[in-house]
Amino acid sequence: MEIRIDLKYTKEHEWLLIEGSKATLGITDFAQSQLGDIVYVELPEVGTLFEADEAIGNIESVKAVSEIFCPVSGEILEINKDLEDTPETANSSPYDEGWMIKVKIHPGDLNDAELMDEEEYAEFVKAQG
Amino acid sequence: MTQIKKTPLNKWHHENGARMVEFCGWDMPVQYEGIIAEHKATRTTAGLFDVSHMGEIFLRGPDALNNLQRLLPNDPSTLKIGQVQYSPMLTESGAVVDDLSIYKFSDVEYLLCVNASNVDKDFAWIQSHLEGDVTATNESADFAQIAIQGPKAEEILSSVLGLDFSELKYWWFQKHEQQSQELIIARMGYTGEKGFEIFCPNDVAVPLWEELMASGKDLGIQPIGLGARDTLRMEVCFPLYGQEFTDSNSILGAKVNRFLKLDKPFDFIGKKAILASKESKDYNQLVYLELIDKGVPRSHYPVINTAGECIGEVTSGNMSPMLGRGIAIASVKKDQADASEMFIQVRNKNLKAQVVKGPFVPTQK
Repeated sequence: MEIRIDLKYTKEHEWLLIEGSKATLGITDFAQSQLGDIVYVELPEVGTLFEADEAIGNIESVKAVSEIFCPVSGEILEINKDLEDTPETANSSPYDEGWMIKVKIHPGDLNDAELMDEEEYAEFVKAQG
Repeated sequence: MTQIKKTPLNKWHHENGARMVEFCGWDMPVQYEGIIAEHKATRTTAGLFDVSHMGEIFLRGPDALNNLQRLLPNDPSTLKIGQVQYSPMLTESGAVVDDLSIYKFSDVEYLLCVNASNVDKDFAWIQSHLEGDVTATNESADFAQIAIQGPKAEEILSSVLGLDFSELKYWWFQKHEQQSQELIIARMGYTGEKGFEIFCPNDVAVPLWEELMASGKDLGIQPIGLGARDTLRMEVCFPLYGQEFTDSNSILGAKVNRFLKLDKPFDFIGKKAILASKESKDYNQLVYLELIDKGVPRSHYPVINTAGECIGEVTSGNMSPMLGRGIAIASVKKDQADASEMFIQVRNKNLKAQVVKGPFVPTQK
């Protein structure tokens, strides 16, 4: 299972790449492996405002549906349109081509967001397994 | 708490990358490589299924047939030795106790293969309704069961057993002695593909399974978990007890009317109730829905008519691995079932679906 050093992680198994007031969000390798074959990713409209921990999208695998959360409030800047036709990219490349959403955030909010670094997330996953 | 049950193949599943889940009290593989890959392997080459959790109940005695005639709405008197018949089993009120397969071994010996979730309930139900010179025994613990399904299934099974199955017809079985162990091989399945279901003694299961895997390796055989077993049967509209059939749903709308022999000269259990609801037309009807909009239907999602009214719910749904489109079996009010278009409500959005005749993917026989 791959965990990347340059990312932050949530307890919902999303990763965030934070670049100032912009963040890219996807699901972790662990999450995609738990979900199994992803067959549909439902993403929000660009421009949507959302609250912290509000469901902003849904990931459907053959087995189950699970929600996508962002740990801080913000605005949707961009969505990965390629997932519409090839949702399985979220399985095969969860950290690169399988990214889901780019959001505009207030970097200050991140302090309260209980994000994990790669070591903490590795521990977190281990505790789950 | 009763201990979780394990099939003879349990260790094999654990050692070969299966993701295991508890299913009806059994520790069963839900997937190995992945549900879609396994699903496609079964449709294009061959899939191997451990279905040892299914139940085996025998009826033996001169009155076996008469008891089956009362217990079941289908007509097992038409069975020849070596033939198999499908039948629901009903309560007095017409609800479904279970659905099962009847194997005729002789005029005085029948095997009922029942769902894992219902073995104890079925056995108690059958025993409490027996009359005359007949005994029922629950021999589920003595049997393992392996299914091999797909276009290459026959080639693989023939080469492993050294048998020719070209004369074995769909819904017929033959017995085969192998090192003084008896196999019961039936040409049938739950995937819509050509294939076989094999009952065997527990200690034969692992060697037989391994031989089938080895022999089918070059042809692309794969072990298949419960996940793909469900998507495979859904694509060909095979009902599943607990989803399409429940203790409280009437059988009449369940698209199994050809198995309800209302004219046979036996007042089978549930017949009065069926006749009454037939008269009143007050029951739900199963329909097959193919999503036009993008999305994935799931059990219990509401079904909406074009006037915006809720008319029922999805009983089984998923993304069809072969069609790449959402498919659903849904139970709707009888008087709404003839519509050509319905909506499935997914997280408060109504997704448009087309009513289709089914199956979603053609069956092979």
